[in-house]
Amino acid sequence: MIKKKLFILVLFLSISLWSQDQNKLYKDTLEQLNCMLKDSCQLSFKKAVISVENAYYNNRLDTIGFNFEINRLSSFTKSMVDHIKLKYQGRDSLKVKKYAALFSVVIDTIPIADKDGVMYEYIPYTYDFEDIWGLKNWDFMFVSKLLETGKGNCHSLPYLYKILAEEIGADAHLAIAPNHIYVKHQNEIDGWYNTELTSGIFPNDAWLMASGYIHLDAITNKMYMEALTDKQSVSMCIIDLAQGYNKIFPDNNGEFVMRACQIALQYYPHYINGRILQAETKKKIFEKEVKKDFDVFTKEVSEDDYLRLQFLEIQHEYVSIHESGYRRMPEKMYLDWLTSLKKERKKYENKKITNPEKSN
Amino acid sequence: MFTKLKTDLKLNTIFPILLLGVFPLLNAQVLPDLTPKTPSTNQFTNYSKNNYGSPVNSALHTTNQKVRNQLLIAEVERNMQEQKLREKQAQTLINDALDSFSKNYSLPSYGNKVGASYYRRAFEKLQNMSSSDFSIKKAIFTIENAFYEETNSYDEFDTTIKQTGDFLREKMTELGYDSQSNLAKIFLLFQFFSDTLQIRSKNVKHLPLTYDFNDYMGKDDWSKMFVKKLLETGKGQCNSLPQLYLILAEEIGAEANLALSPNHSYIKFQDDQKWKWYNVELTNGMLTTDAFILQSGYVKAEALQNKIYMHPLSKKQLQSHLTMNLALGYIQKFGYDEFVNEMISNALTLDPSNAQAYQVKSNYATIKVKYALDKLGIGKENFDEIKKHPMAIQLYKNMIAQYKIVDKLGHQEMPPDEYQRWLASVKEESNKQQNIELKTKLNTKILLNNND
Repeated sequence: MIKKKLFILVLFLSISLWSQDQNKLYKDTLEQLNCMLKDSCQLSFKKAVISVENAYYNNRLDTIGFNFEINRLSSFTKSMVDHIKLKYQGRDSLKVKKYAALFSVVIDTIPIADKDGVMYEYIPYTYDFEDIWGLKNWDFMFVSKLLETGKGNCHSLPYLYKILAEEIGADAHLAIAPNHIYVKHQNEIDGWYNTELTSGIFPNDAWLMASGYIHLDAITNKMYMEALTDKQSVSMCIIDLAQGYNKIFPDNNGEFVMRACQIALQYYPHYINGRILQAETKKKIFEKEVKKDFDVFTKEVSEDDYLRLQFLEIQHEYVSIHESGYRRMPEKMYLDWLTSLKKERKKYENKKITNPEKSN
Repeated sequence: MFTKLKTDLKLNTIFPILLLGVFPLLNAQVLPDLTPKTPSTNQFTNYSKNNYGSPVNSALHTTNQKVRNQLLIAEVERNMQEQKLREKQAQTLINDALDSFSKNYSLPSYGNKVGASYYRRAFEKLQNMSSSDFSIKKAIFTIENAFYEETNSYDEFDTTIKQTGDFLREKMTELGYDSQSNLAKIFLLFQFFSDTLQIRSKNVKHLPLTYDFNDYMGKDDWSKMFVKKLLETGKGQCNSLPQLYLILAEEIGAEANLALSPNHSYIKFQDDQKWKWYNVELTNGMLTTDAFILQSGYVKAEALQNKIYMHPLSKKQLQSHLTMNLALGYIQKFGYDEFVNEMISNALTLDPSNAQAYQVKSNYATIKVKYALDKLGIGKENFDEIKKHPMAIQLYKNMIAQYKIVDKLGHQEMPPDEYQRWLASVKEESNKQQNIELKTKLNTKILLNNND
C-alpha cells in the first residue's frame, strides 16, 4: 500500500518536474528569440525555427538530423544556382538565379544524373491537405515534420524556403494573407513579385486582393501582403512558440503567452496573429478572474472597477482588430480560395515570372 | 638592396602607428592566419619611385629627440597644407562644372512659343486657388482654356453647368428625393450619367453619356480629354467623365471623391451614415466593387499601402492631380522644359504621394539626361565618357532614383490593350449582376430615407 502510494507520488513528482523542465525550456527559448530581436545575438531564422520546434518536443528534436537535411538541401540549391539558365536579363540576375533555384528545390521534380550517368529523380515537397491548421496535431505546422515526411503546408513550406534562402545567402521576405504565408521577392525589372509554394505558382497580387476574401483595409493597413523583415519573421516564430505552449499547457495562467505577445508585438505591432492571440489570452485571464471572484458572469462583475476596465480594454482590442480589416476565414473557404489559384491559373498568374524549368 | 627595402617597409608601418597611437590595435582583434598563403603579385606592395625619390628626411634618422620632434611637426604641417591645396583645387573643379551645367544642361524653354504663356497664367491661377475656396469647375475650365489659348467664355461654360444643375434639382423634386441627402444627390447624378432622364412636366430629356473609344488617351487630339468635348458631344473618357461628375456634384452640393487606379480614374462616395464606400464607373455607367478594380491585375499591394490607388482623393490631392493635368497638356502641346518641373514640384508639394507626378518627373529626368548626353556627344558606344562629367553622372543617378521612387510606390505600367480588356470586362455577367444589386440596395436606402 505504502509502496503503491510512494510510486504514485514519485510518478506525480516526476511528471511535475518534467513539465517544469519544459516550462523552463519555453522561457529560455523565448529569451533566446528576444535576444535576436534586441540585436544582442545574431539573428538566424533557422535557429529560431529549430528552437521553437525543439521546445514543443521538450528538447527531443533531432537537431543534428534537421541541420543535416538543411545542409544537404542548401548545397543542392547552391549547385542548382550554378547550373540554372534564365531568360531574365536584369543586372541582378545572380540574385534571381538564387530565387529560381530555391523555388525548384522546394517545388519541382528535378532529374539528376549521378557520376555513372544513372538518372534519378529529385522528388519535391508537396502540400498536405490534411489538418492544414494543425488543429489535431500542432506539429503538422513544423519544418521538421516537412523534412521527415516530405509533406508540408502553408506554414512549413515557406519557412523551409526562408531557411534555405538564409543558408545560401539570398534574401527572401515572408508575407502573410489570411491563415496563409507566402514569399515575396524583388528584382530590378519586375519589382515585387509573389512566390506561392503550396501550388507552385507565381501569382500576381490580384489573386489575393480580388479573391474577395480579404478586406481592402487589411491590405492598406499592412495587415496582409507586406514584405516582412527578418525581425518581423522572428516575431512570427515567437507567436508560434506561444501557440505551441498553449497546446502543451492548455491550463496555463497566460503569463508566458502574454510576455511572448508583448515581445513579438514590440517588433511587429500589426502582426494579426499576435494581436489576436494577445486578445484571446487577455480574455482567458479575465474569464478566470471572473470565475474565481463571481463564479458566473453577472451584473455584479461590471460593478467591479478592475474587471470592468479589463472588459472594456478587451472589447476595445477586438473592435480595433475588426476595424483594421480582419475577418475570420473558415477552413472550407480557405481551401476553396487556395485551390482557386490552380483553377484560375491563367487569370492570376504573373506572366512575367515563369518557372525556369518550364520556360527553358 | 633587399635589406634596404625591408627597413623602409618597417618605417612605413611604424609611422602610422606612432601617429594614431595604439587604439586601433586594441579594437581590431585580428586572429593570426595560420594557413600559409601562396604569394600572388598584389600581395607585394609597390615600392617604386616615391620611396626612393624623395630624400629621406624622416625624423627618425636623427638621434636628437628635439630635432626629431620639430621635424615631425613640420612634416605634419606640410601634409596639412598640401591637403588644403588639393581640396581647394577640387572645389574649383566642382564650381566650374556647376557653372557650365547651369548654362548648358537646363532644357531649352518653350516659354517664347505661341500659346505657352497661357499655360503659365493658368498655372498661376491654379496656385492661387486655396483649398478652402477651391472650385473644381473653375479649375477645370482654366486648364482647358489654356489649351484653347483663352478663347472660351467662362460664362457660357458656367451657364451650361448651372442649367444642368437646375435640371438635376428639378428631377430630385419630381422623384421626391430628400434634398438634404447626399446619397440621393449622388445617386441621381449617377443616373444622369448612365440612364435616360426625363422631366415629364417640361418634356425635357437627357440621354446617358457614353464612352468614346476613339483616341481615348488623347494622343492625336488632346482636347479629347476635355469636359468641354464631353459636353459638346455627349461622349467622354475616363478623364472627362469623372471630372464632369465632380463639377456637377459641386453644383448641386453633393460630396463625392475622385479615385485613381492604373491608367484610370473613377468616383468614390459614401452613404449618409459614412459606413460604406461605393465606386461609380462612369465609362460604363455602372456601380462596381473593389474586386473589379483589383481584377485588372495591375494594382500591387504596395500601391494600396502607399494609398496611391483606390483611395478617395482629398481636396489637396485633387488640386495636385489637376496641376498634373495642366502639365500633361503643356507637355503634349510643347514638350518638356523647366516649367514642367515647376508644375511637378508644385503638384508634389500639394500631394507628396502623387504617383503620376513622380512618373512625369522620371520622364523629365530621362529627357534631361538625354539632352545632357547629346550636348556632350556621348552615346551608347562611348558611354564611359560620362565619367569625366560629374554633373552628367549626377543627372543620370537622379534619373535612376526617380524610377526607383515610382517602383517603390507600387506603380506598375499597364499596357493599353490590357486596360481596354479590363474596362470591357465590366460588362461581364458577374459585374452586371453586382451593379444591379448595388443599385437596388442604394435605391432602397434612399426610398427608406424618404419615408422617415
